[in-house]
Amino acid sequence: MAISDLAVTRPARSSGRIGETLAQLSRSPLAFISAIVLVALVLVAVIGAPLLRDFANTQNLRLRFFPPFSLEHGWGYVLGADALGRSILAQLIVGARTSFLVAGATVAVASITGMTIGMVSGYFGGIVDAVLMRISDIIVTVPSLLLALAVLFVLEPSVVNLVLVLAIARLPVYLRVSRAQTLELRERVFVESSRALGTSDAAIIWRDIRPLVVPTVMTVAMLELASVMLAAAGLSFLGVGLQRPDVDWGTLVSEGREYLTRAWWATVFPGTAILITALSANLLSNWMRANADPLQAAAMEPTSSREEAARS
Amino acid sequence: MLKFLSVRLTTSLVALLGVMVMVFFLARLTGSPAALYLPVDATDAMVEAFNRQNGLDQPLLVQFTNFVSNALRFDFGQSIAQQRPASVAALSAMPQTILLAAISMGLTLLLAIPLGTFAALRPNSAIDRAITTFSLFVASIPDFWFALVCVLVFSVNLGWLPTSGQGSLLSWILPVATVMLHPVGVITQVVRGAMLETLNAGYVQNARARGYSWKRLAFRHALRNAALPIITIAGDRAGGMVNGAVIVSAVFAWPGIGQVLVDAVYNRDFAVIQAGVFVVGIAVILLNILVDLIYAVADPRIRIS
Amino acid sequence: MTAPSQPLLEIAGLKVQFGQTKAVRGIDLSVMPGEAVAVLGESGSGKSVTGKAIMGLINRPGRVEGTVAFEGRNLVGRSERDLAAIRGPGIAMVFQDSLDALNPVYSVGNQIMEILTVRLGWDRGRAREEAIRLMEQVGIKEAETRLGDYPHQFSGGMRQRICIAMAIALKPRLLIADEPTTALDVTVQAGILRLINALRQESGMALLFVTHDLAVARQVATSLVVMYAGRVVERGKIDEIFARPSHPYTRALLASNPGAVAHWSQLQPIAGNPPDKATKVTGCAFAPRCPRAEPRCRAEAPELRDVMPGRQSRCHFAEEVAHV
Repeated sequence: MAISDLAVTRPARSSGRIGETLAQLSRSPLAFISAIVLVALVLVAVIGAPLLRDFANTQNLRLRFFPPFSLEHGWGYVLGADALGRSILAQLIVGARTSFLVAGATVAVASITGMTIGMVSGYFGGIVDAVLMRISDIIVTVPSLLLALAVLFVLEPSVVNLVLVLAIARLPVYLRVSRAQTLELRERVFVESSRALGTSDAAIIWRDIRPLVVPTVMTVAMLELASVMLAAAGLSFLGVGLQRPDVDWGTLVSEGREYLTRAWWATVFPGTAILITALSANLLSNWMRANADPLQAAAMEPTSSREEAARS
Repeated sequence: MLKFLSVRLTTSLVALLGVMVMVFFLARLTGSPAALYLPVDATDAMVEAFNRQNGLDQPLLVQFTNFVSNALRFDFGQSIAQQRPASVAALSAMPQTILLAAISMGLTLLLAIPLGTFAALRPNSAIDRAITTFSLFVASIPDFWFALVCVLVFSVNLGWLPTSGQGSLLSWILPVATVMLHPVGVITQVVRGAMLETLNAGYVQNARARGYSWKRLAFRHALRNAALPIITIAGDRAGGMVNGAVIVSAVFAWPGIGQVLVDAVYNRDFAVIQAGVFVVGIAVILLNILVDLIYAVADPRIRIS
Repeated sequence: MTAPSQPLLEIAGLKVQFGQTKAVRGIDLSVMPGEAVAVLGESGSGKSVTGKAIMGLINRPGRVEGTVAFEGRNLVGRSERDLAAIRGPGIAMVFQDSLDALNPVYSVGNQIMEILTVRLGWDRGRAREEAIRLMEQVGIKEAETRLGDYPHQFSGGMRQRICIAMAIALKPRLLIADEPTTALDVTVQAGILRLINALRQESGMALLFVTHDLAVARQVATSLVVMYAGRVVERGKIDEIFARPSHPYTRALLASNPGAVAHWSQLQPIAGNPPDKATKVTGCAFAPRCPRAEPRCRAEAPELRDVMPGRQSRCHFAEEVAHV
């Protein structure tokens, strides 16, 4: 019968519409520019950083505190030099690679782990779900910077440790979003029908639920990219994130700070780089949400377990 | 209501236990807590004495029980850097931080609620786009960098504001602004989203059919119903203001729990780190209970059910 | 005061459009002072949107065209401030979903009193007494003790009574009721309809009753306006229309209504669906579902025209339909 056919049809996947998405993107100038800026920054970080690594570490004491916006010493010093006469521009490009690597890896680890736990937890429910949600509540309870400060105090500062700490701190965001959506999807007809046909739970999660949770998680991930980048930079600024020879934008701000009054550029440019990247990611993710649901362009905060409890 | 509060209270206790487990294992992650507690140049004899004194030669479960009973008495040992118990060092810094967070959150809500409401009143208008872009912009500024640039401009170049410390009223301006930065952006967005929903709800349309002004519709009828998500995010961000307090102490040498923790990191004063995480954890749990109570006040469906 | 011969509400060429969706495609109707008119139509026929459009409650991006003259003054395009003055004492409204229509975070007493203190500038004490009187008037027992209760503590029927109390608080000259009984049990429904009739007799207010239910329409209204696909297809005195419908759609409605046929075996559902609101309709909108449609119906759109004294129909063959 036609009606029952309709009921078991799975909702259309949103993949395979990349061309359409790009066309929509070109109609929103702000989001379009943001996307271009992000792509350009990633390209510069991937291609430029390996090439400029030596130049970025070249000290030239004659160029100490060389001011920006002058081509006297070539394009390499257009953004000035720091206290050891190193090019700010080159260090920004090398730092970009680390910053993107940390932010990207953190979001990838947190989103994939969080989504997996969230789907399993939401699908099966029961005691496992309850325990996982309490753990997530605990992670949320401790301010993320404090957690990172304490853990990185004990562990050695390194890219891997930084990524792990930040990923754990951001895990609850993905866990809640994917769990909430799984709870809703679990009751839908196409999942029920799969279950009635004897499909295994793992297959239902993978084939029926995952394709619909992924787009939501990706939108959240884009939003998180900005906040993770800010958090990582903050930790490096405090001296517990990364230390040389690993340089990220936060380290540069922290180093420049000592000469703030003599060479403002050593502080202002790395911070501006963080700002531009975070803003682009935020504008793009806001557009993604607006595109998915025109009315609810802004808030996509998942309902917290507290609101759930209050409303039940 | 009672059921709701008792469930929430249980959750808080579980969270407290979780925080204690975390702090406990933090010290044992590196293998030897002695390496963390004792100065770098400690002799083997000192390490042995420390282990014996703190029961570190006993089974892990016994150690944890001891730790919990000590933690509940706020006993985390002596601070190396300051000649006083670590818990005293952490606790005495809290009032400063709570005051900073309270003032910042008050001002944040004063700014974010009208901004989010005006954006929601005319969705996709020029005003909405301006407010949304502004909120995304402030949420994108690195707060530590914002603090530094403010010092450069307002303190060094213009000489209007003090660079550090806590003295006159003027010395509060930059720390409060730094702590407010991200919450203003995020809460404005949440207010906008929540208000979009309630402004379109039947009861607001019905109230409009009774001839009320838009101010009454927005601020009395829609806002009160949008309160739950706003309270949730405000509670979340109030707890997160400890993050801001850490930044503020690092840039402005602002006294408070942030200062204590940053100093402890630089002095490798592990007892204080432990005490600090524990005290902040307790403060956030208390904050959560407060938020639950505000929930019940804001929504009669929770109060009477 | 308006002269009795002049309509209280006169709508001409009203169109409401949301983007490409034409919810209302041009309707005309009038309500005389004290008259009770029922607007009848299937869901999606544009009847609810009409009620909101009269009140000026269509939000952007919705567009409203045509005239809505209330006591001789056009309301379309008026400022929110002007409309606010008319809402309440001029036109009041009762909505379908009473749970959604009451603010969940304020007590019902608070919400009734708000109307009086805000719109009439009364002090709280006087407003409180009037709120109790209004609640008693709409049949809520122990009104004084229930004043402090919240909407979720009342049953659906009681909530709808409170909504009615709020609508009549400013003694409106016209009450628009948008499917006020649809969400309720049949027994509760009858009580609400009796209440509306009683209130109308006491105060002499006019009533525009939007419904999809012929039997309900007959209980409250003297005149009937039948809508289909955003247009009026028939209007006249309700008893006359019941006796002799002059539009195939009205006839089909009567045949499909359990309350209007002698036995359930005579029930006949209307086959097919109303036209898509985004498409432009050529010819008669009902033709695809009409049992007696002819080629002319698909080619030429019928006008709403007088077919007998006090009766209009939008059908090329209205006279023949009426005499079957």
